[in-house]
Amino acid sequence: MAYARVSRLIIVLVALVTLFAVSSDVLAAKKKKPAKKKNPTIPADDYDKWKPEPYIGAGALGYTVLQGPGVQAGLPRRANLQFDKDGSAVLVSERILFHIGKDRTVRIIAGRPGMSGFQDGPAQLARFNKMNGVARDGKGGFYVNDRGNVCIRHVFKKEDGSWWVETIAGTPGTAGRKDGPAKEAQFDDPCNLAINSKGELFTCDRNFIRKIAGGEVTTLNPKGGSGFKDGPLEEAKFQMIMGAGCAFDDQDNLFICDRWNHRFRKIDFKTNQATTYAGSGKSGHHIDGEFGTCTVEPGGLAWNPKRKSFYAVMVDSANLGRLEGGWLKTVGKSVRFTGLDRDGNIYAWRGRKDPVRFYRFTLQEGEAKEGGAQ
Amino acid sequence: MKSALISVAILLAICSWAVAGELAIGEPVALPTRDYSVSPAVAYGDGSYLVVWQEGWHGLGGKADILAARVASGGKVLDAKPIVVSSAEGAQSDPAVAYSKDSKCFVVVWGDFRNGTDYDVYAARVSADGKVLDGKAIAVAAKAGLNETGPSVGSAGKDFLVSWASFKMTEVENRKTKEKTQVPTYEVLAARVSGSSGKVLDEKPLALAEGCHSPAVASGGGGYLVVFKNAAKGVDGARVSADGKKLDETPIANITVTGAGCTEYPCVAAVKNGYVAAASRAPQPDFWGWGGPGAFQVGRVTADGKAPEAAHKVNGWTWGQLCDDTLPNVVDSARWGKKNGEEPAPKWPKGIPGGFKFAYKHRWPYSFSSVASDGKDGCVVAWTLGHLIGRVNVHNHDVLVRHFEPENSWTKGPKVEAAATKSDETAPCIAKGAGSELLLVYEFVETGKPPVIAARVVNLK
Repeated sequence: MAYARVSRLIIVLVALVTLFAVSSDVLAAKKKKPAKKKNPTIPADDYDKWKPEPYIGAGALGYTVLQGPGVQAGLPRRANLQFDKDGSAVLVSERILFHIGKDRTVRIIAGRPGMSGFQDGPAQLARFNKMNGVARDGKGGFYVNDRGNVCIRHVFKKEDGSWWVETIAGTPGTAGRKDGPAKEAQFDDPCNLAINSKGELFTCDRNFIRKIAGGEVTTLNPKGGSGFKDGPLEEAKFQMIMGAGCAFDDQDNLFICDRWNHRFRKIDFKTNQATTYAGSGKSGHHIDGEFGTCTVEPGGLAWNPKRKSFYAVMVDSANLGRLEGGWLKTVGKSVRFTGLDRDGNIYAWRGRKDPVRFYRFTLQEGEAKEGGAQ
Repeated sequence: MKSALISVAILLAICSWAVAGELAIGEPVALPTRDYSVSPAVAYGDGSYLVVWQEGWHGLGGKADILAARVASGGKVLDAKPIVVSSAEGAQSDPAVAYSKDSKCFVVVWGDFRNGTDYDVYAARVSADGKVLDGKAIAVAAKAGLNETGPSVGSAGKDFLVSWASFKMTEVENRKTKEKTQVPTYEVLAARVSGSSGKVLDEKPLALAEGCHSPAVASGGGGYLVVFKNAAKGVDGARVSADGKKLDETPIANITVTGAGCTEYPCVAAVKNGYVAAASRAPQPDFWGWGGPGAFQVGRVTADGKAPEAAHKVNGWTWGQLCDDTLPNVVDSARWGKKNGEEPAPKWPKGIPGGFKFAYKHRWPYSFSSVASDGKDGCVVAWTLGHLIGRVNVHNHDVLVRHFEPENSWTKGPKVEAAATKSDETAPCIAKGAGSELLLVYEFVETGKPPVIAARVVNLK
């Protein structure tokens, strides 16, 4: 009887020891998951180290436009900032162009609050309709794409100091895709502008890349159109590139937010090839990672010349990502990206709840400044 | 019979009135504008109107002055040359004007950017015979480094009430973290200006509402109503007594119908039994329809400070009531259109895949409006209508007027094209004159030419 009890106890003990050993192995095996691949080139400057500071805009004033000191100004929703070398900036909204002084004083350059339409000439008479892109001309003026009027316009200062607006390409009010002499050409839906080092302008016109140079408008992918196709530029296809963004790097390569293909595309003009720069092509919420595997829905792009990297905003998450060293890394959250200054500070508005106030994001003290540290 | 018909036709041709519905619109009258002239305002004094406007560009590198001219009842311009109300350095813009029967003078107020960095509020009195009584403008609100802007003025007796929006950093507590942060906002302030001396009577301005801006003032029944855009909600208001006391500790909320979003560029007029305010939805047509339709609404405020239209609500997702005019106080509204805009669509398809197609009849009412008493218990509203080419291109603006009788079951008159040529007409302002007469002033812009100010006499039939 006693023998039987002892043998049962031994069996139970052996079973318990075996069970413990097996579970330990399983746990150990679980712990031995392959380590996440780290990217050594990306510094650990997470978004929580960026300090937001109100830059311009008094917040929700609706459609009331006010000139005045930085955060006291009334600004329209959705606008793009483009900085000049002297630290001043131009802010392009749907129908008004603003000058932001170095002291942040906001003044209207052209356009009329509460009025849209089309008119060239002196800035005070000029009318616009849904501008959404701006490119500096390198001479103090800038180009804007007037989406509602389907044309490209030049805003510049005349010798007498007055500002002037002139349509340089497209047939105002007539949409189409017609190449040829710039003023006889037609655009379908010109969105976003980028200018290369030669002063040649490029715009994303639905699924076509259009070039404006030497008084001519040329479609660079006439055999392309809607879809996805890398390869020779002439046949390259894009999806819904309008409304997203494009920018040049310092090698005059054009990068495009190909929103509905969920990719950043690169156009190399030396080889005339279109390639996928970043993005797996999968739709879904933005996921950081290597260029080939990251998930993106591109909504805006800007080149940081000092850091030699791109910043991009994702439409779905409103995350701000940095494309650098083969990796996409989130550096900001809940922002609607609008521009970079020469020091690498990021300017953005913060989504629907705070749509008409622009913030400047700088790295907190002690951290390397974006761009400045390179 | 034939000759009688011809005589009637000739008589009609001679007559300057283009009769339309219950409002008769006179021929356009040109004001003595010289250059780029915008933002007109008008008030009626004893026997004549004073029309004020901004001459010159107020943007970067510009210089703008405040000018005025008198127009007699019937529409005759009394001043061949404009009255210079202010020609100070920098830009003076967006004037407003009111008349005091007791002091027999007008007060003109405007936003002043003379220091080149921020707006201040200045004013000047103008006598009924067109003389500027304050050569050195009255500084109503001129704190350094602070935007004080968008002034409006009314008079309920011998003095005037000037209201404006002033910048303010407001402390806001985060509901989750309880962290307190300073947020830039505007508050609506008001102060009285003496009609007899031109002095500012209130050393400390009256604080009417925080987080609000774009005030408009009307005077009636021995007091004032100031309406303003509540940044968070809609059009609110506050009554002020003739001696400068705030009568509503909490602003009167939702004067226009809640949910409809008619909150931009509010304006107000006193009527027999209170006040009527008007406001617009100001979005441009967008490619996706997200912004909803352009529209205008009016809303009442009773003499005891009630806003009857606050009880109505609009289904903000379909905009149906707004677009179908099922709400009695809808002045005008855009509507979704099928088949190139030739047929009305049943719903407003907010943000549907495929995007915005066409507005019905290519109409897009938006932006500026003005309201004036009809001399009884009704009002006349003037507003801006944009005409579209294709989906989103606003290529021409007209000014329309409509008569409302809110006390009489919201009887609406027909929409009348008061100024509708191939050129642009916009930024209307309307004021009640003697008898059944009103004066409508607006910007008139011929393609490629600087805008000028025009006026038309409007008569209630």
